[in-house]
Amino acid sequence: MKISDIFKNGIYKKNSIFIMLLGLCPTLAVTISLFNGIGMGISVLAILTMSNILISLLRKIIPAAIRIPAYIGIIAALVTIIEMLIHAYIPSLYVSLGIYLPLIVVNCIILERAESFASKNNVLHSAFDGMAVGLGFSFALILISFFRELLGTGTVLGFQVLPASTNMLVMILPPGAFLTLGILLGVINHYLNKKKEELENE
Amino acid sequence: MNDLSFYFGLIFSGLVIKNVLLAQFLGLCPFIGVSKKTSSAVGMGLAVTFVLVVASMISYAFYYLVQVPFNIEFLRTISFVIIIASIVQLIEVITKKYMTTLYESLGVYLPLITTNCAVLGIALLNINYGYDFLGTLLYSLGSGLGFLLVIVLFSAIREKLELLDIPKAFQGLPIALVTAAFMSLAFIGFGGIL
Amino acid sequence: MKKNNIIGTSLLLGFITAILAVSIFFVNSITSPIIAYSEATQLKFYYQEIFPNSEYEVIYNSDKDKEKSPNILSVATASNNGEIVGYLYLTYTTGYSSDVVSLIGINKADAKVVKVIVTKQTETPGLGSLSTQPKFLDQFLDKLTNEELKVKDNITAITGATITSDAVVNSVNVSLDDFNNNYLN
Repeated sequence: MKISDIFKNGIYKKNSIFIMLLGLCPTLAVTISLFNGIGMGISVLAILTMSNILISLLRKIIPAAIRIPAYIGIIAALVTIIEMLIHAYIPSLYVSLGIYLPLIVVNCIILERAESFASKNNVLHSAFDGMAVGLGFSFALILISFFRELLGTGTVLGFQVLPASTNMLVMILPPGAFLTLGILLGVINHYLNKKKEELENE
Repeated sequence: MNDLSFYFGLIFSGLVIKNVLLAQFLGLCPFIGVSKKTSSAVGMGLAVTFVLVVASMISYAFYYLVQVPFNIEFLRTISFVIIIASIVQLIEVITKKYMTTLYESLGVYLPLITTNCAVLGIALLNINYGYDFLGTLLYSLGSGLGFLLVIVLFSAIREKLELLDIPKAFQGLPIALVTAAFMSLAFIGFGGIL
Repeated sequence: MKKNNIIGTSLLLGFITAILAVSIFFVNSITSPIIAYSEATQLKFYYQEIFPNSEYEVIYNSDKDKEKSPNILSVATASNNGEIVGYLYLTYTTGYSSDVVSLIGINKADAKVVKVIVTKQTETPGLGSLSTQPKFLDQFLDKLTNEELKVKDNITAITGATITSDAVVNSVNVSLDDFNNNYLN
């Protein structure tokens, strides 16, 4: 397997959110501001990379029977550690991510990568896979949170760029999350359909 | 009286105001994945409600009886996950053996619940909000029923959406998400009640 | 053979869990003092904002004391030259989507609210988050402690964020009540 393929798959071909639709809970809940989106993306990136490395290292030791509990235990421990580090060093991010930080444990992406990739591949590839999928996830989060923050409060990373009169508060309320993701998915589908048609016509 | 309205408020806020799916975004994977048919949505909703209540109660007991006295609150996440995973496994074994009809209707959804963030999320929220035992029970029950209510409504809408003429790019999930947006908007309207 | 296998795997699972728990303990022992320290300095900074240049002493902490309302996290006194000038209440109430933590300063001499600061909240940006702004919080200035505050009566709620407004008002009321019962001359 080529490393470039791993990155292509993780980042856009099989983007965890836009294509696979995994890990939607944090995606929709924390993306009220770009700061949150970036913070969540990087946390997941770090946890995913580390859990992939650990699970790949232990893949020959852990018997198949206790695979899932062992993976969940490892992921939960990593998440707890990252949570404590964020609490200590970036308290503002800790407060704004709230309950969705410990909920990374049950983010389907991490268990899915552990099960379908890290448990079958070597450490180096698993590490790259973790990074690639994490990057794809962060990219999706940044895109969604950028639109929501811009349209909802007229700011980008807290700086006012649109006048307050154009704010659509609904974008940072829960409905805005569904709406943004729905429309983004529609646009991506449109683009993918077009590409498919072009390929068929050739 | 005041207590009564507080506890009633907890059920109600779990059910509609702070709906797990539409306001807190917990448990979206099954919401998207298992909502194509109303019958499976009912099964999933019931299974989640059941596990949610049982898991919240046991996590609550474990937290206050074991973790707080020993000052190991920071092991909360990892222990709750393990509790939930074991409960799901246990329920699967018990229903398979003694309640075959229940197992046949809910069994397939059980393994999916381990990684359902609604269960872990509500268990953690109960602790965060500092509810007592009865509060935990009612809030979990309200949340579970809220999950059931929304996933059933949503699946009914999705069944109808299948029959509509929708632009190709929006068919399937995109239009479902836009629908969810409007449902969520409608649910915000309940916010003023309490 | 099979029995051995089961014991072996459960031992292995126990061993893995033990390693994980130990590593969490280790990180916790590093981070918890940092967290405690930064929270304490942050709180001191807010104390300064309400009663500048005073000495502060925490006289109630809900971690170990339980007799006050559960909404009260801590009470501190502010004193100048050994004489108590005011009380600082750290309280929390549940808002729309998060816990709203606010610090309420009450002047001892005239039993009036000196200042209210919302120290922690993750309410909806643009709605509930406006609770941290002076426009809302300044309404509490100089309110007497024997006044019952109520949204619509003597406090104007933040537009579209009644729940958050109520949460802050409740926090203030709980503090005023406790002050009246315990520390009023």
